[in-house]
Amino acid sequence: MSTKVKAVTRRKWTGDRTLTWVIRVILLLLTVVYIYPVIFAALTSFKDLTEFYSDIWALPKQFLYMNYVDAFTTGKIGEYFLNSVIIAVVSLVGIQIISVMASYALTRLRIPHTNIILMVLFALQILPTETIIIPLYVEMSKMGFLHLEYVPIFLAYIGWSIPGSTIILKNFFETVPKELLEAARIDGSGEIKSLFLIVLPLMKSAMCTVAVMNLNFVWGELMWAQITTLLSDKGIPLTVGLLNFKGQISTNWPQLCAAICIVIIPLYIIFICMQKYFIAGMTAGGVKG
Amino acid sequence: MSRTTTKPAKKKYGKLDKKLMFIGILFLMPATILVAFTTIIPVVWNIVLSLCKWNGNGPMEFVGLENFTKLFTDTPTLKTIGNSLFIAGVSTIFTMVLGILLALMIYKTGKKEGAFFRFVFYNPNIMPMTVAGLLFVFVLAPDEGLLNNIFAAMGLESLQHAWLAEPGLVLWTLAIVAGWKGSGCIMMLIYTGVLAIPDSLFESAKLDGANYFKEVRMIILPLIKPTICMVFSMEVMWSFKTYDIVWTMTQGGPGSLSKTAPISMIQQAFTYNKFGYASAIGLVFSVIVLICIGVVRRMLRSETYEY
Repeated sequence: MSTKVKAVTRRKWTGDRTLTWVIRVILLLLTVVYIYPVIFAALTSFKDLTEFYSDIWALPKQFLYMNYVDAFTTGKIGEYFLNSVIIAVVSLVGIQIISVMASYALTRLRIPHTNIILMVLFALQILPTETIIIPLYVEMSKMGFLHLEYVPIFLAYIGWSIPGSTIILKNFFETVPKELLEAARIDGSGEIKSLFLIVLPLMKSAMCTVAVMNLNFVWGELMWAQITTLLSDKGIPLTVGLLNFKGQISTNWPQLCAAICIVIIPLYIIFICMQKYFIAGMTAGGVKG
Repeated sequence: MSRTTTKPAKKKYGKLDKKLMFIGILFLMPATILVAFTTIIPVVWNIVLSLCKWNGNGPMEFVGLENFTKLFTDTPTLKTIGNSLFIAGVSTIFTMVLGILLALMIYKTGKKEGAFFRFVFYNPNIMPMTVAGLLFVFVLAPDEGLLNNIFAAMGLESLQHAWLAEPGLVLWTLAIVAGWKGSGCIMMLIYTGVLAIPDSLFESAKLDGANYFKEVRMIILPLIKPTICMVFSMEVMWSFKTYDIVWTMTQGGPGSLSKTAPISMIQQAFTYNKFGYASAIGLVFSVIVLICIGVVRRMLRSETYEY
């Protein structure tokens, strides 16, 4: 009996092991597909144009950082980057404050018809941006916002992100025990005070999750950013700026690669530091449009 | 949702409740104003605009359903909506299949390697669509691009193509690049779903002599079905965002072969100043997207297994 079991398990084990190795090989091949374009771009960014055309496979002969300097100065990537950072920071702070307040009100302050409000929020976040942007553009131009730097862009980002963020934060708020707040209320703590001193410290991870999710959207958005900056050359965010840069240099690939690297590297750093929130953000923001 | 639990709160508003409600409404104010300004008013206005003829400047002229009748007879524009649907469909299928396969394979390799592979496959997701698009413009460039050079190095010149310029190919290329970018996210979500399955189930399957294929078919897939459904409906929603990738990679070209609905909408508005017509395109496209999402959600509503 015991020998039979042993034999069976051993045979199975070896079969399983070959499968694992086959999978490993497939995954390694796919790794090349997923990571090589980035590495290739990084290597190319250190070459100059003649070096690139003479042999695209060769490793860069020397550490040429000229492309990066060019991308920063003539391509204005640095300026665009700064614009993107400003837009992202303002949007994220705005989204965070406003949706925390809204979700706190929806969970803990006795708002009537919470369910209807939630359903509306839910519907709003599925709505494709295509039906919004043209009238919004008209609206913003009538109110004179389009002449302002950054303002039209982050106003829209904040407004669009509030529904999704509020829903997620509300789900987290519900996990904070009610008794905690009632106790604070009896002790004479005001609503704003108890929100900041009691609830928010408990919600750190939820806030990070929402922030990361929104950063993903704000940093990469193109359509609205492009439309609002059609008429000006100020306050252009990175996504639009990168396309402008591509238009200027046409097929100067090494320079384009340098610009791409400038954009990608900070994102990788953020991702590695905040990996756990990225995943949580995806799951939580599952329904975000 | 907890529709029944709110009822007791409604019975009577005490003094404290009234005060809380007042504060609550104050707290909701900024959100309401911003959402109204950026979403609700534009959506309503979009419907109004779609019934008008307006060049963006000057008086609006009410024309009823003329924009819509024009749209449904305007083959080039209908074609762009078709292109959007094509890219969305192909990239959704590609992403889902690839994402699920990757997740199942990574699950098999074990924890430490898994972490490495997950980072690798998730990496396209970190970059904005614009960056991924530009990267692939470079990779797919006809002469100096990576892909064609790889084919040349392997002696497969017959496989070389002008990936973004050949009429029959460009939509597929775009859809696959979009799928490549999305697959990491799907992989991650499915993977977390698989991790949630208790180990005891696998142990009993192992004792019964099931191999990994059987495990996948009999245990993993049925149990992560709810995850797959959720991910699928999310992916459908994301896949319709075709503006970034197409604008970055081809700008709708060659000709207007890869032009998608958002691009044609924006061109109608900002190049030809036909704001009414553009709004109609946006509205019709959005309705189609919403119908697709609704159909997918309804289709996927199914039984789940408790474990």
